[in-house]
Amino acid sequence: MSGQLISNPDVKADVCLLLEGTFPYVRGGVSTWVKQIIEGMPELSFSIIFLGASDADYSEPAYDIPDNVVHIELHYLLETEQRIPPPKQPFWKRRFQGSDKFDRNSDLHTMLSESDGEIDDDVARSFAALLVGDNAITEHELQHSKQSWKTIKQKYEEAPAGLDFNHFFWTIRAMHSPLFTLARIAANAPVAGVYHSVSTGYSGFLGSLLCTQMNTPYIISEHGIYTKERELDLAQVDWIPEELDPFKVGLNDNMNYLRSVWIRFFRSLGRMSYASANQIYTLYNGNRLRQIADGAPENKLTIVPNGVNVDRFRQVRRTPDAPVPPVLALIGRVVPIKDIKNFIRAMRIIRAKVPGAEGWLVGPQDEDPDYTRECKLLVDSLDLGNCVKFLGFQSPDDIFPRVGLSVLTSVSEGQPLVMLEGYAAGIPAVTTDVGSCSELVYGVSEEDQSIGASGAVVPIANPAEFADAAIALLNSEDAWRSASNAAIKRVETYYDEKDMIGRYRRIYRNQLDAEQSLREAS
Amino acid sequence: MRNLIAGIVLACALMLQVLMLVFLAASNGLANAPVLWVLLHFVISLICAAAITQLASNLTPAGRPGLFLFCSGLCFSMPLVGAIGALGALIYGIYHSNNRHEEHVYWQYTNNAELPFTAPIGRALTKLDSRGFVEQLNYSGKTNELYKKVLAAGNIRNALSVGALKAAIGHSDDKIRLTAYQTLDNKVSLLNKEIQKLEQSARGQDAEDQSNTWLQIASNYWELLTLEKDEPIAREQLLKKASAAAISAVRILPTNRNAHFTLGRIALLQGKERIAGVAFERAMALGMPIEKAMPYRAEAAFKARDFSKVAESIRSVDDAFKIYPPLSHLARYWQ
Repeated sequence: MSGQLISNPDVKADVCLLLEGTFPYVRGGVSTWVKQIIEGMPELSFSIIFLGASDADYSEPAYDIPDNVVHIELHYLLETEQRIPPPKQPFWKRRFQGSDKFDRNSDLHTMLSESDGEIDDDVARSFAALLVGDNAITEHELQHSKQSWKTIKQKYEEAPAGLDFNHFFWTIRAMHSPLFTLARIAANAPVAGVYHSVSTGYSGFLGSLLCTQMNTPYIISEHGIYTKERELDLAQVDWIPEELDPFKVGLNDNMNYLRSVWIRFFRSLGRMSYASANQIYTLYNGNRLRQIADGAPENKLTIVPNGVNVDRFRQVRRTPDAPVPPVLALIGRVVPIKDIKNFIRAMRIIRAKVPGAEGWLVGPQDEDPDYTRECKLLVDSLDLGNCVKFLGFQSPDDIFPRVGLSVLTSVSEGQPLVMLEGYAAGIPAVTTDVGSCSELVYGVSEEDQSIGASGAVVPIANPAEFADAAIALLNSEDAWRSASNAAIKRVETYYDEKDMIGRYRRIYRNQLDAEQSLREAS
Repeated sequence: MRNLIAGIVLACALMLQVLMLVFLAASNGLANAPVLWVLLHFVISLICAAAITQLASNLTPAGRPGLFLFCSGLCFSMPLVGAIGALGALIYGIYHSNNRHEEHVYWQYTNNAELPFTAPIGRALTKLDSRGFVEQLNYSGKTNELYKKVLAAGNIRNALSVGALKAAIGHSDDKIRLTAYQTLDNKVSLLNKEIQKLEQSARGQDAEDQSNTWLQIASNYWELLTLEKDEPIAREQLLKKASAAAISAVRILPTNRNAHFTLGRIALLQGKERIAGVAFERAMALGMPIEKAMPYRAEAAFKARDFSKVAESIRSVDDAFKIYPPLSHLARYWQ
């Protein structure tokens, strides 16, 4: 199933953004970044291909659609497709072609599973050709052909003994089904000067299909590392059948085979996305190293840090002599990865030492209702009902003038925009030591470090240390002012939105020029 | 391709063997020159054997020379019949070996338990668990192996895994840190959900069931305490809740000895020695075995600095239970 918000599929946009589960339906750092990019370049036209899980997950867009977006199409990868009719070809021809295709498919799968890290661009193109070329494997062939059955049986025989064939068979079917949806999307995709995916995974692989099919430049910008996040999800999900072996002891057991097959699948999507892309952009060095380990060619990688609208947040800065409100704002979704419980426990310590201190949780609460309920129960049981407040989504412009510290207790982050927005408003940050948070607080280069600390970094899952760091800043006006000044200077020097948009403008311009010369040459 | 050539060669060699037998039967031609006949038969037998070895190479991939010698012997000693028989037998064998379903027996491939990780001399030891996993988390650079171990730790009992998982939360590798965090978070969420479900089901039950349900709720809080034991605020809050649930269980059914016992253990952790002592005594009065409750009663007395009660409590435990550690050391000390 698919739907459309603004439909002009025949208009050629300058940039086609491939977005999986982000803008314009889901609020978050990546969606804000996408909006910044589109609005920051009004001279360029954009089209959007949005990929989601199923129609029921998305109701109304969470963001206004900028005027320079000429086309948006929505596709849901887990929706049940109508029965695919068999291709109209004589059976002997189908049989002959099928055998050839499935042999090639088998070889490529073997090559992928037996190697690790970077793969050649040709391999990615060969895979893409299996789905979108003239001699592509169709969904009907995967579901009904003898060659497909033979390949699945062969792969099953290579799997560890004792694996349930039923589970294996349906895993393979379920795993490959979204790829055919991607192939259909690619076949009818809007034409663009450059395709730009903001993650690997399905949208990254769609980029591979599109650049193979259209021979158009393709770039990737990654904020979090999709492959890693998927892997972590898959390691814990309970829909993958797990048969615990009671005879095995110790901690050296290998992962469940089907789980590892799923993880390898997403790793392969990532490797093929990286191999097909002309350029890959990342936020900071930690992510860059991870991408290299996951198969991104080093020569394609460039670091482009996030940026925020400093002018906008300058308006909400407090005057130098204004008192510092003892309010800590955690701006983010109420989900386990943000470790909200850690913040609530820290608030109990802070409240005991700083009378009148408040903790605000500013962000959507509907993503994980069970976790939200647990957090609210924790607030009640710690008797913090009048001190810790769940405010839901609020505009940062309204929040920053009323808070003293911007805080993050996350166990995983990339380069959090909320911290930078807080800096632009002159609010120091107390954050856990994850992602590039430490770089944002203490600086990257020597020159950056000489600006001073714009807050404090504490270990994860340690409410006592978190509380101590927050209290130290709230109780000492000099320390707070010094951190606030450092925050403002750092964001103005290194993380201004104008710089980020300028860099992406140059990137798009270079790719569009390359596309133009390619068209003229051909 | 090789097999195709081998097949053709074998067919030709067999025809030659037939021809040789015809000569022998007709007593003409080559039959008059026996040395030459034997020599030719020997060469043809070798060709047959080589072809059969190629066709049946899957059967003994590492022992081709042996197979060749075996087939040569058969082909030479039994002209025609030997070659056909050997080929037939081998094809039958390959067919059956391919279709045989091998069920591995667990004990055949269960690895030996690993020896505990040993810290190099001169390095300060951190808190170790029985398999040295925490030590590995701190000093091993093999992140992929550690990641798999953290995953596996999620499947073992909370009391055994929680220390390692807590240590893994502080690891520098994102994957290890997040897996440990998610594992602990899932365990906490599951227990919280179960508590909510039990609280709902407690309504409308008879006194005994209701008391046992509250006891189960107290036990779940106890389990949560295992997961959050290093966190003082959580510990205090969970002990309070566990205590409230145990008190409910006692209030609803005052004869529930397990509820008194659990209440005693919770009070002991809360530092309420007097309540703990009374709860253990009531549990024993209601039939709780002395050897189970009395050591805790002794601990409560020790914390309350009532040393004569400690000695008296330990003395009252049957000698059969005092000959093994850890009670044996205590019994010897307090004798």
